[in-house]
Amino acid sequence: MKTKHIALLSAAALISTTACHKDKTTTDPTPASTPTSAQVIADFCTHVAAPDYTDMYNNAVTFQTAEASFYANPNDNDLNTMRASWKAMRAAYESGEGFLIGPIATQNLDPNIDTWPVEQNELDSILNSSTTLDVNYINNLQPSLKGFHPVEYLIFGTTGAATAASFTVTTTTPTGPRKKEYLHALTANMVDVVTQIKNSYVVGSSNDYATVLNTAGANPTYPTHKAALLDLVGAMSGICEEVGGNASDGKINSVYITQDPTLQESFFSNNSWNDFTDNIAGIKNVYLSTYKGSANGHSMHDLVAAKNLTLDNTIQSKLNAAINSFSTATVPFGQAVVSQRTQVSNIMNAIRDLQDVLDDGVPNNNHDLADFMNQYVTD
Amino acid sequence: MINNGLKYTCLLVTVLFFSTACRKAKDFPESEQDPRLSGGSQTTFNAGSGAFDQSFFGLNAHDQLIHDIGDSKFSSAFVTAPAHVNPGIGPLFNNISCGSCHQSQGSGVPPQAGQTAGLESFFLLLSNGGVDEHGAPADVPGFGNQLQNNSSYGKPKEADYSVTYTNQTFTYPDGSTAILRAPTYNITHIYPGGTLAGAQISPRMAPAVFGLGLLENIGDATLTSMANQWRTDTNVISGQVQYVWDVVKNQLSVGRFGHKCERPSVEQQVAEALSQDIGITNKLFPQENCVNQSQYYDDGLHPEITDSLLNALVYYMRTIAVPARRNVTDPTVMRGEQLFKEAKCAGCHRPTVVTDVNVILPQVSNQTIHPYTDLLLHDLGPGLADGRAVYNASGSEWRTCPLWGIGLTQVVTGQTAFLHDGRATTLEQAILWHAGQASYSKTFFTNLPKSDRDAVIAFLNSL
Repeated sequence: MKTKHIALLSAAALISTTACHKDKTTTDPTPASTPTSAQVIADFCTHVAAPDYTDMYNNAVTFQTAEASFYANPNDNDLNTMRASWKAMRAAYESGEGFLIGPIATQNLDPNIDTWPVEQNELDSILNSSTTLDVNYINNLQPSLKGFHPVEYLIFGTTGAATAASFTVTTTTPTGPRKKEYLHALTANMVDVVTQIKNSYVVGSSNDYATVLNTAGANPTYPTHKAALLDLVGAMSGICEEVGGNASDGKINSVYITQDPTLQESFFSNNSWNDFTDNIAGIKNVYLSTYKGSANGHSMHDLVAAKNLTLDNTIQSKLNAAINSFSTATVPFGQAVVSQRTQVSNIMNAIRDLQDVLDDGVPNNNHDLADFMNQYVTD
Repeated sequence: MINNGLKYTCLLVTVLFFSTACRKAKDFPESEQDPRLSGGSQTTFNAGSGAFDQSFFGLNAHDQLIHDIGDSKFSSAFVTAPAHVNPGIGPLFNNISCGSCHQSQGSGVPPQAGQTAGLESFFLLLSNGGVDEHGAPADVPGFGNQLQNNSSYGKPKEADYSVTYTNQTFTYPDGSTAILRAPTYNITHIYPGGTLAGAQISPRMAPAVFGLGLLENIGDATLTSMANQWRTDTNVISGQVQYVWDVVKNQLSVGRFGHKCERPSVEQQVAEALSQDIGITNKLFPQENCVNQSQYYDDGLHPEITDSLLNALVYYMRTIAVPARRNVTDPTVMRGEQLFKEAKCAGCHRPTVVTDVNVILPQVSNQTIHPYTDLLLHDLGPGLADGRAVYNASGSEWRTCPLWGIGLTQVVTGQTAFLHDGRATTLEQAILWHAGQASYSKTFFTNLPKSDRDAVIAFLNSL
């Protein structure tokens, strides 16, 4: 009897000690390795947003330098440089859509540079007119007549086959030189808007948003650090909705359901897959606090892994699955919606799966990144 | 022989069953309701830049899809026809998409002072001072009842306009001051289609667009009851119900949307905005806004937005959730809430309303909501008057602005501009512009010590 009691007691003791023993894989590491919410926000600004927008700006400068040379003497080398730097600028812009908060959203910078579709009829009318294309004229144009996509239309052409000769020929309507004038005016405007976007993460600039984020807890925009982090999570989830969502105007779905390649936003440059991949890469950049392989800053990943490693693993798994899904489509997007529909559908599903673990829209069901922020960020 | 114990037990169980089964469920008293739930069951706790664009909960997959289609349409940039995507804008318009004015589904701002307005979240309404056959403000010949300051290429816009401000200093009884700016509108480059001499002009800034489905479902009888309540009171507050021409029902209906309750329904509000603001003809407004003007041309699209897309857009506008209140237990906020009631602000900015039963859209049915509006017209005095009567609304009467969500204006839109024309850049300024029926409330506020005035502002920022 006594042996039995001892065995039972020992078993009970063992059970209670193992039951109460913290699971080392899911609980707090030493406090020093868990960043504060303020650190995560600060490093988002310095490790993600600022370098991303600076990269976009640098490519805009490269574009403008090539355009200035092209303007003086239209040639295919400069045209190719413009195309490459346009795509590089777009890559940085699209990854920036993983954190579309602040002036880019509230000061009309996004509409002024990324409106689609292009107002084709009026663009042709302007090209066919002799109106002076000065800064004031361009500034007063509708967003659909300036920014990335009208520039894209000019440097790639409707079939992607524009050449330098397109800008010198005088026997067409509109003439080549007129297109060159419009491109010149749009370039200046585009660089101006990109500069304003870059400045939103330059401390002390007129539209400095980094300081708004870094003073979260003491300003009316973000009364708490949690509010700032949740705003970022909302942006990350929002771009998933925009790219992978099943609304008829979803970036992928609108082309998928119609099988109409002309419904792509980047149709002229055939750049859609890059756009979508960069969008999702931007989300990963925010989550891991990095940009183009730079050293990671204090990140959302650090916050989540410290308290819920399972969720962190899930988020990273879904991020990688979404990014990797793009490689299953092996033809341009406009063709894939016809000949690789299964792959395109799976890509949208992978993006929606990612959105589900960022913010499933159901509050406090202990499921996603938004729930985590609500539960564990207390300042 | 029946076991007496069993018999009595059965009787007791039976009595208990019927007494509980037949008892009516009682509503929660207001003191037990969660004060954060401004939109009842359709309240979102998103307090970031997306706070005004969260979908209703509980939509089935089909309805969610319709909501999402409407959401996409709200952001669609329209271009001139012929075009593959979104054709139909113009010939006359104010902006190119719904979202261009209602940025992030929030309110707009006035044009930059002194600068010619371009694509703004703002426009000027017009009237020749008369009324049409339905009692609506009569058109100004050659212009209609809205000034469109943008046009399709080759067509003259109706006019340019700009706004300038004259600063006035308000001095509180305690000696502190605030600057109030009074706007003046300057119209130039009027196209040769008529004259605006003598026209009544009313500036209108874009309002936020969440919660409309709930506001639409506040019953007509509820509004009438709120209006009648004040007539039996000696208090000077006297809201009145607006009646406007309903193009769907072909009759006068209660007006509830717009700064003077000009529109009776979300559907008519959306359809008329598409027509007047973007130049998109639709089933309710099949004629271009400039059909009798020289700018008119037929682009061959009839209508320019399909019925199904219009319906999706209207459904979307009906199913945007309301952001929850924040910091409701903060002592300063609670002090401000108490003062808000003592100042009788709540007389017009009604904290609590119960919506009607609605079997078609159950999410808005029988909801206790906190819109801080009575949707009635109130005279706010000469300082805010536009001099432009609209049906029952005189030139100095305005709809009580819903205050729910107002504290999130900064994070959603990046700026703050309040009142119908955005002249107030802070909530304090907005309060100080109140007069007429709101004189008591304004005076109560100004007589408060600064700490209490700050508490009232803190309370408003919690909404």
